[in-house]
Amino acid sequence: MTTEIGDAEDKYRNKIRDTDDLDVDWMDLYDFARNKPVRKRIKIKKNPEISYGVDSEDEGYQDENILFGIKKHEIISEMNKWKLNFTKPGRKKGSKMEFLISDYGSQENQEKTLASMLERQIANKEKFHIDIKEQDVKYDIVIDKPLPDRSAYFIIMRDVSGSMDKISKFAYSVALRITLWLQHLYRENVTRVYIVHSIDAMEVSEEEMFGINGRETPIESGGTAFLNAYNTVNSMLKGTQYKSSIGVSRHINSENEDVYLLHITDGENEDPNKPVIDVIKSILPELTRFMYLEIGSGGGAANSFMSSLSAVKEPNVKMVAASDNESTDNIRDTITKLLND
Amino acid sequence: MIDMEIVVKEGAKVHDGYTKAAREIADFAVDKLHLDFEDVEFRLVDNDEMSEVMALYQDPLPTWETYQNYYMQKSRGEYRYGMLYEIVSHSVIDPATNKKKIISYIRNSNKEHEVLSVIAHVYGHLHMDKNNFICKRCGRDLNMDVKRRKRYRELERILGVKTVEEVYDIGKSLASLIGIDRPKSLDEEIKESRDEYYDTEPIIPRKDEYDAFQFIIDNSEISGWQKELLQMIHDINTDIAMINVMIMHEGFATFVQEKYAIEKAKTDPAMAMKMEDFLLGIANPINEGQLRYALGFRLFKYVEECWNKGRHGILYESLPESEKKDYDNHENKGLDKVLDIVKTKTDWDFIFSYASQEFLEMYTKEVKDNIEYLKRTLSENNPNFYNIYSHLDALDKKYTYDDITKFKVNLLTGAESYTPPVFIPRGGGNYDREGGLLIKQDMSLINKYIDGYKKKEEDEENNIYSMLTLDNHRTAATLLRIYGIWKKPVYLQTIDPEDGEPMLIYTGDGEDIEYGSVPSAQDPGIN
Repeated sequence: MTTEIGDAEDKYRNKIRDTDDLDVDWMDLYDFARNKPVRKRIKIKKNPEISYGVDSEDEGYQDENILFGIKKHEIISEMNKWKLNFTKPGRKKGSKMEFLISDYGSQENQEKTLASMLERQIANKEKFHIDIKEQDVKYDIVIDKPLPDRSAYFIIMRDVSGSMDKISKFAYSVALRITLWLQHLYRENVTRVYIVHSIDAMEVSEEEMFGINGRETPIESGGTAFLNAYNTVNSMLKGTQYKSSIGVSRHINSENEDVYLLHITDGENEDPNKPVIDVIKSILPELTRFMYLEIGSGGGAANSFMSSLSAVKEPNVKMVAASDNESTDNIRDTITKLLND
Repeated sequence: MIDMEIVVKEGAKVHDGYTKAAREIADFAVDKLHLDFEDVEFRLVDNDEMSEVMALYQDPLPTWETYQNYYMQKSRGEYRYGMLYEIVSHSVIDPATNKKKIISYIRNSNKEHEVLSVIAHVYGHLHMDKNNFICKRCGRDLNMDVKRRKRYRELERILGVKTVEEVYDIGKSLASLIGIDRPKSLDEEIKESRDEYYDTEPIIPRKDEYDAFQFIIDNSEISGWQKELLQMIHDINTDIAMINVMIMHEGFATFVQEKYAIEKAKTDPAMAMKMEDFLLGIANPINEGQLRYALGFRLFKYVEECWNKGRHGILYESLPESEKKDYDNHENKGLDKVLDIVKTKTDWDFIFSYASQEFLEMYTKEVKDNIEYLKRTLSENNPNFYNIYSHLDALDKKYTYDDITKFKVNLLTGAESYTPPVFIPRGGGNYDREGGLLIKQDMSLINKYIDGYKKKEEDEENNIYSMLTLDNHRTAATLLRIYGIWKKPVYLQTIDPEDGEPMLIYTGDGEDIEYGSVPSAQDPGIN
C-alpha cells in the first residue's frame, strides 16, 4: 500500500469505532457454492443515500446490530407524542476559539512568517537574512468551533439468571427505545455498554447481550447476586479492572460524560441487600440517571430488591415494576416512568 | 491485423507472451465481433496494488471510505472470494504516439486461462465505454484526481481532519442526487421556454434541474471551502451516477469473453474448457453479487440466439407454440442486434424490452436448480448450516414470482449503482415560499415500464411500489443531511409504498422527519 491512501487507515479505524448515523453492515467472505464457512467478517459503514425500497419490518431483534434497519425516526416521532419531560444536563461550555495558520487572511502571524522565511532560505541554501517574500507570509485565522453537546454513556445491565436468561421482547423494546431517545438527545454521541450478571458479572458485546446471531452470554445462568454487577459498574467509573468478554476494561469519566444506567431484572437478589445499596449510593453521584426495571410477576413484591431500593431517595433514581407484556401501552408507561423527571 | 497499440506490462517490463496473446484476442474481437476500442496497456499487478487502484478509482480522495474500499478489496483478493479480476482505469495520452490509451489492470496471480479470459472481458468493456450513448459522455482525468487528492489534504491541514470529513460524508449522501437529464418533447420545451419568458416573479430554478446536487451547491449558503469540497465530490461522482448500464456492461464483457473461449476451443480445447469453467464461476446466478454478470450475459446470449433464428417480431409471435419451438429462418442478425443494444440502450430498456417470459423462465429454472443442488449437498455439520440454508430459502423466494413486471423491477433495483433519478422541479428552490427545497423522484422513465401493473390484494407488502418508493431510513437520514447544508426545510416527493400515489417526506427542522400529502395544485403528478 502506498502513501496515497495509507494515511487514510487511521481515519477508517476511527470511523468504524465511532457512533454516528451511518448504516453499519458486514462483509462476509464466504463461499456458498463450495459450502465453506465464513472465513473473514469485516465491519463496514455506509453513508446514507436516497435509495429504493422500504425498511424491513423487523426491528433488528435478531440482526447483527440492534439499530440496523430500524425506523428510528418513526420511533422517535412516536415517543415525542408521549410528552416526556426528561431533559439532559445542559452544556457546560459554549463554543471554543480555534487558531489556525493559513496562507490567506487578514491577520499576519509574524512568528510563523519568519519561520516560513527561514525554511525557504534553508531549502535554497541561502545565508540567513531578513527578506520576507510574499509566499512566506502566514496568517492567523480564527474559527469559532461549537463544542459538541456533552456525550453520554448508556450502561444496560441485564440479569441473565434462571428465567431471565433470554431477553424478552418487552425488555428489549424498552432498552431499544431508551437508546434511541438518548441518541436523539445527544445527537448520536452515545456509547452503549452492556453488562450481564447472574452470580457473576461481566461486560459483554451487543451480540452476546441480546443473543444476536446465536451468540450466547458467556456467563452461566443460575442464581442471582447484584453485588458483582454493581461493583462492575463501579470499576468502570473508577477505571479499575473488571471482567469483560470484549477484552478491554474501559474507564468512564463522569466529569466529561453523562452516565445512564439501566438495570433489567426480576428483582431476586441472593446477596444481602445492604452492601448492594451501599455500592449504589456510592456510584449515584456519578450517574446522571439510574433506571431500575423489575419485570415479571415477582416485580415490585415486598421481598424484591426494589423494596430495599425504595429507601434511596435521590432524584436521579427511577424505579419501575412492570409486567412482561410487549403491548405499546405497557412500553409507554414503563418508559414514561423511567425517563420523566 | 489490427493497427492498435496493445501491450501487457509487468512493472516496467513488457510481458512478451501475454502481449502476443492480447493482440491475437484484439484481432479476433475487431475482425469477428466488430468491436471498436482504443489502444490498451494492460498492467499485471499484485493484490495490494489492484486493491489500491480500485479504491482510488472509486474515490480518489484520501478518506476513510477509500481505505474501507481498499481493505475490502484486498481481503477479497486474499481469500479469492468476490474479488475483481480486472479494472479498466483512466485513459492517458501516450507521449510517444500522442494517441489516447486506456490503462487496464489485471492480477499477476491469475492463471493463464484467467488472464486470457480477462483480456477478452476488458475488450468488451472498452467497446461499451466507447460506443454506448451514455458511457461515451463519461471519463475521469487521472491528473485531476491527483490534484483533488492534494487539495483534500491541504483542506485537512488547514481545517482539521474531522471538520473536513463531516462535509465529505454529507457530500457522499448528496451524490445520490445527481439525476439524468430527461429528453423532452418539443411541446414540453416550448412550454418551458414560454413559462420562463413570462415569469413575473423570481422562480428558482426556472426549469427542472436534474442535477439536484449541483443546484444545492450553487444555491445554499455555505462557506467557500465547503462549496469547493462538495463540488469535488460532485465531479467525481457524476460519471458513476450516469452509469445506468451496469448489467449491460458486465453482461456484454462476459459475452465477449465467452465468444473468445469458443474461438479458442478450435486450437486449444483444454484451455477453452478452463476458460468456460472460469466464466461460469463469474456468471454464477446463485451469487447475488454476480447478478449483473449472470443476468446480462445470459440475456445477451438469448437475444443473439433469437435474432440468429428470427425468433422475434409480429410474425414469429403469431405462430402457434408448437411451431415456435423449432423455428429457425437463419436470419443470423444476432451479433448485430447485440451491438445495437450495447450502443443505444440502458439497463431498464434492456431488461424490459428483451427479457421475455421464456427467458425469465429459463433463468429462474437455472437458479432454482442450483439452489436445489446446494441444499442437497449442504451438510448439517457445516457450522453455518442455518445461515446458508436461510440464504438459499430467501433466494428461492425471490425467484418465485407471480408478476413478470414486478420481478423485473425487483431484479433491476437489486442490482448495484441504481441511484433513483431525482430532480428539482421548476420553483422547487422555494417550494413553501420560505426557502424550502423540493426534490422529486423522477418516475417518468420508469412509468412506461410499469404501466399496466395491477397490485393484487394479497400483495400488501411486496408490491412494485414498495420496491420503487424512496420511503426508508436511508432517505430520511439523507434529508436530514441535506437540511444541514440547505438550512431550511427539505421536502422529497416520492410514491407511497402501498398504492403508488405521490407522497411527501420532509424535515422542517433537521431533526424530525414528517410525512405529508402532495397538494393537488402543486403539480400534475409524478406519473
